[in-house]
Amino acid sequence: MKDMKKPDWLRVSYNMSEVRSVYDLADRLELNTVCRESGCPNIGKCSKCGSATFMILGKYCTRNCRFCEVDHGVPVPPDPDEPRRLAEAVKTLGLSHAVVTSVTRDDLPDGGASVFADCVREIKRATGATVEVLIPDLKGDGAALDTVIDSDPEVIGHNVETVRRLYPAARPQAVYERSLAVLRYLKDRSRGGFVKTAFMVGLGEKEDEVKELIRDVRATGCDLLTLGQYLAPTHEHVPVAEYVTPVTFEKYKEYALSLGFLSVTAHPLARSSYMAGDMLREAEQKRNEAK
Amino acid sequence: MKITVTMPELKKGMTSAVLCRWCVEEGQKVKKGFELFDTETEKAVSAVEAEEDLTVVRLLADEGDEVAVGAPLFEAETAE
Repeated sequence: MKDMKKPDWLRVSYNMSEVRSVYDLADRLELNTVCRESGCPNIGKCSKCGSATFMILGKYCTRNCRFCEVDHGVPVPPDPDEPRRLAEAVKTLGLSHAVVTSVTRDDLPDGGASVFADCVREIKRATGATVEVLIPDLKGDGAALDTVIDSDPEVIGHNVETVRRLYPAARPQAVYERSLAVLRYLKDRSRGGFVKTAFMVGLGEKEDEVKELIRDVRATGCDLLTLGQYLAPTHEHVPVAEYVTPVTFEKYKEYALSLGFLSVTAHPLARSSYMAGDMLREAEQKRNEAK
Repeated sequence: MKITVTMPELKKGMTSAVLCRWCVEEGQKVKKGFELFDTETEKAVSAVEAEEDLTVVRLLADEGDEVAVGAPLFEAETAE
């Protein structure tokens, strides 16, 4: 739906000097952030808190999802020094909870799993921060998933992104059932870590499809869920079908919590790493109370 | 010191944006962090904040204008 007027709840604040201070650091350390590469609308808010979500393994993705702003292209070889520089950035920013994601690297034998693991270990060694990784599906490869799990991040996330019916249009190189299988595998194998996923609404899905997705995800054992409004990066991407109201987001949140998720963030501006540290703390508290 | 505030590059690859609304008027003194104007990009309406204390001297663009990144938006006086 082209040129649909943006609702008031999509108004965000932006302070150039605050954004610049975070991104000068990223540039100095030759790091990418998903905030900048995906054109995240929360970049002003997160920069105000001195926070960012880092994107490892280069800035070119081997997939070409129709909703995503990250560039599709020929990827570069992994940089063995990236985990050290990433840990330095986390330390410099003083992050207590670091979120690390990547482009999808279908060209690498392990999909980049070993680099994720190196980053988790280096951040923990150098900073003591808790770590959340948001990984691609790694083609469902158990050995690659084990590599990430064995690095013991507090949270491992993999995004289902949208409802089953919209996969061919929005996520043609991914498979709905495979993403669910990845979440199930992560939950079965992780030793105390939380499993998280996220998806977007506003792509044309119906309410019953959203509820089916929430049930499917919960059935994998997934602990944490984030829902946000889909925002088209350009007119070349899948168009926004609908701006979902905050009231509807709240309804989805209540539904998800009723199914047993430990923490749910549902807000038009929520993204995978939105309030990630708060979600981890809420989940830890609920788990401790249940003991 | 007289400065000219220009349209910032709010996102990667942005070449221009629509100036939706002024939040200040000529002659107004504002503190750092005060919202100066709303501008719309593909994903959101961004309320761009003052990077320092300033006095708005002259507005150089109208609401509804599409303004190129780096093009002047308003003149201002700062303390330094």
